[in-house]
Amino acid sequence: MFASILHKEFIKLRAFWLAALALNACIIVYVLLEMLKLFRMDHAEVVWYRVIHLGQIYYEPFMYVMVITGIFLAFAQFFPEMKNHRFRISLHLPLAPHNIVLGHILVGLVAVVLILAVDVMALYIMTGLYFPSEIVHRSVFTVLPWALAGLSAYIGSTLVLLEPTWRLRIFNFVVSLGVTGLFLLPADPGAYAHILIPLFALVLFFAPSVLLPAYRFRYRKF
Amino acid sequence: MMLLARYALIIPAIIVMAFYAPMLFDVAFGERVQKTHIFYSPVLKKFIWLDKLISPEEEGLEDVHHAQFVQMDQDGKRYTRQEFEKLLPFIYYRNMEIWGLLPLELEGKTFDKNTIKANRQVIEFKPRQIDDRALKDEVYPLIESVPGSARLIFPEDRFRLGREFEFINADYNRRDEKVTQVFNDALKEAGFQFPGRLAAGKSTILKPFDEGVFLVDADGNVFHVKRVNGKPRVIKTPIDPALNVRSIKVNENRRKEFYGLALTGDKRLHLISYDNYRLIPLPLESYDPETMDFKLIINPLYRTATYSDDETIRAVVMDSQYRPLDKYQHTMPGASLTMAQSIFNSLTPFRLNLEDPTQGYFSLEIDWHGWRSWISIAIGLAIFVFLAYRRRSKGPALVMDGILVALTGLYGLVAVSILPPQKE
Repeated sequence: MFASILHKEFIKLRAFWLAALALNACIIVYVLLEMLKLFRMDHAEVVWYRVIHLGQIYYEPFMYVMVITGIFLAFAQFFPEMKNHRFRISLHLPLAPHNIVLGHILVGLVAVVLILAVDVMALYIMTGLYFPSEIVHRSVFTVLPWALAGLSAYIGSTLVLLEPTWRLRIFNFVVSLGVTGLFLLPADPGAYAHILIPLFALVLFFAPSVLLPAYRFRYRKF
Repeated sequence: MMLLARYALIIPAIIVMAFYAPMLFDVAFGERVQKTHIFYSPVLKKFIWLDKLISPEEEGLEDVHHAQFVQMDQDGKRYTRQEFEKLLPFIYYRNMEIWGLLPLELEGKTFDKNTIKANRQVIEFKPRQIDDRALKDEVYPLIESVPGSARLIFPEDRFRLGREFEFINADYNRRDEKVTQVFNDALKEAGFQFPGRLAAGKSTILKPFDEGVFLVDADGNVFHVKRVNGKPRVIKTPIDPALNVRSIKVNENRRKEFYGLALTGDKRLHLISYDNYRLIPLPLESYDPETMDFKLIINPLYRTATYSDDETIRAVVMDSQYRPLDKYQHTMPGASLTMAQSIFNSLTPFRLNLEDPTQGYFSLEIDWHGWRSWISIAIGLAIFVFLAYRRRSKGPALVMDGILVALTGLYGLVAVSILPPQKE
């Protein structure tokens, strides 16, 4: 049954996932062109000075697209489910409600992680072509918190969508916005490097919170 | 599972409140720390400073809604802005020129604009600039010191210091074997022991000339490396390796008195002089490099060092040989809490900080509000017990909620109240 839920979600999300991947691919190409433009406009050593010493970030669009990807996939997955309370049918399957919900968000999270991993890998490879390894690592440490923001945006959007009451929907929205914002603070490139593990733990810990509105929805506790 | 789900939302909610509530408070009621700017007036021979008052002194809307700055000296005498600037003629020399007060005469000497300009230097050193606390570039340029043009230009390569002194060419993003070998040989010949421990230079061409970089080797010896006409010039400095140089800040200045600052393992700050790299220790009592911002202001007559943490600013004025002449200590207005801050600190037990102004990297820090934290916790617990009694709550969630409120005060109370426990 659990495998069937995963399969159902996979089929449901497939087209949206490809659309999100296409959007991210466009951003990857854009970032690559931005980076190449830097080297076309100036001597390589001047570009290095700008990126290494002044902290110029040519890959900033990743910050937005990662968050958008998380929100988009959460909406693609749960917005139709919440229409006419369709999700309640799923929640009545002969399986513990938490397994049903966790199955859903597992598929969603894997979908988001795969796309964000493509972004990070693409940045790693393109930066490695033109910058020393220290800068490659730094750029990865700069985008990893954005990737966490993408995951947090997915969990937060799910939390908001599943919540049946407006009062808690607003509360969930504020908390999700706040958690996601923690990963998007203005910072020097690589500044998050030392706290990535506790922040990742926070995202992991935040994930099961989506069970709460699901329970309330399932048992009409609102 | 329901219990876990609930805390999976409550704890992030507390984290969000502990991070954003103080941030919003700061936006609404001003920054926590207001640093005093302290100087030594060569005219008065006293310390004078510029403070931003936390509590306005006079009634009236303008005073409440606008920052109030005061200029005063160590005897408590107040000055207008113009009087203040006239007491610091070497700093405000451009204004002095406009006011027709140049050349000026002090201590029997005459100073015109060019003399003042040529004898001024300011160098700052902040905790986040210490090598082991900084977000470093990691690959540095070794700028050509004799550029053969009016201004400095960046070389086509940068170096990294580790097991070797490795140059990477920016055009090809590849190791430059030739340059690497030439510079490594020169370093080894000078007695450099790899792996290198520290590399410090001013990685910009926006400076009057270039003094290369200082490197510290595995044994703690300090080397001065320059690129002169494309070739290495390596000098092993006589700086004692036992001093355990921890950080160096290079600051090229036409005065050519010192290369920059060196922080040694015993937390003392020195100038690296042009006189065969002799270290000049700065007489800074109670200086803590990990928490204090340091500034050295040099004018044609005096050198003034100021260093401050969040509460106290200290200043010492020295002669040209860096012997202390006078010192002063001042508690900054920002050190005392405003009414709004006292209330806020009593309602919230702590603030969560990600950014630490004393280091380059983010860190997770819980900044407790001292004894006022207990007020928030006491209020939180009292309301929690009252609500639990009225609702006749019981069960494991009640105990865990109580522990959360006891640890996080009103933050916890708000979170557990909005999300009351539900039966599965």
